[in-house]
Amino acid sequence: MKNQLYQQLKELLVNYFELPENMITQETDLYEELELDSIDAIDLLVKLRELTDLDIEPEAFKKIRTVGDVVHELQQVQGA
Amino acid sequence: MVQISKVWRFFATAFCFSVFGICGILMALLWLPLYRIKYQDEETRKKACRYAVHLAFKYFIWLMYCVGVTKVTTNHIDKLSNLKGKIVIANHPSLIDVVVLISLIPNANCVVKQSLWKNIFTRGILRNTGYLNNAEPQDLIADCGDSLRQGSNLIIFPEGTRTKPGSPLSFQRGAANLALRTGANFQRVLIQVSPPALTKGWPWYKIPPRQIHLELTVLEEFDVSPYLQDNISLSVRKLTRDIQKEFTNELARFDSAF
Repeated sequence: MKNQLYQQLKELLVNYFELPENMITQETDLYEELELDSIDAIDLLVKLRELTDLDIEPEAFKKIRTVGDVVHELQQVQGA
Repeated sequence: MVQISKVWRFFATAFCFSVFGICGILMALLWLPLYRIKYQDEETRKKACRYAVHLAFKYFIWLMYCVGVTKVTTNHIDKLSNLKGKIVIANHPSLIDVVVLISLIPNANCVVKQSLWKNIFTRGILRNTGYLNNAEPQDLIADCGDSLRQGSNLIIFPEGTRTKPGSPLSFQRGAANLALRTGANFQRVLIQVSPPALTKGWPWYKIPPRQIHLELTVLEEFDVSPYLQDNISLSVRKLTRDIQKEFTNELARFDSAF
């Protein structure tokens, strides 16, 4: 399940944010390394909701730094 | 001779910046509060306050010119006279760029960074003008959209901060996001400063060998509608790249002629 979420997130980053696939790992920092800005973060949140039907709270999303953090947070929501 | 001129301009610069600070406080204490009596409607009052700032900046630029600190010249400035609901984008070589732009655009609005909302010399004015605060990105776009729809022109420096001297332009995506999410077009303005002064990290007391000459060139309006497609994140990136490239090219062309 974790792997599937990771794959979905990776595709999203590649297709919607023009990011090269080989740059993305679990440890990649969304802001420092992938250079997403605050508006991208909001868009990513919306896209994730459309794609996975999982709803990360904006407050929780503010603490997120890496790709792995997003996957972890999605899992938390899924488990809840 | 150069030395005398530099000493003069040192004191003149100190004088001008003091005037700027003091007038900032006086305007907030004595002038703008009168608008609370004159205008009942909040938006009308804010608009009047922004116009007051426009006039104050006009006089400030005139003062800087009179004492020999700066000189401003313009090309195609008529394009700014009937401007309505546009996003004015410009490169950002110097500290006073926004002062010059507001002095030339009567109904200008702008996004002001957090530190100036706390600065004792500026905060009083900022609270009256309805200028926008960059603290909350999601509200910011909606607020910018409202302001544009009301006919204000929004001044944005796509670089986000002053240009690092000697570095190529590097645009952030905020301006493009704003354009594509509000549908407003860009009005492009090139700013050229010679000799370089008041750049990023340049202290005000470092006086250049000559009077600072700012030359503004107003370019054609830039239509963003071809970029309005489904995938906004990708469009924003493409638009940012395109305007950055155009500014870089225009500045290079301008540099060789300046």
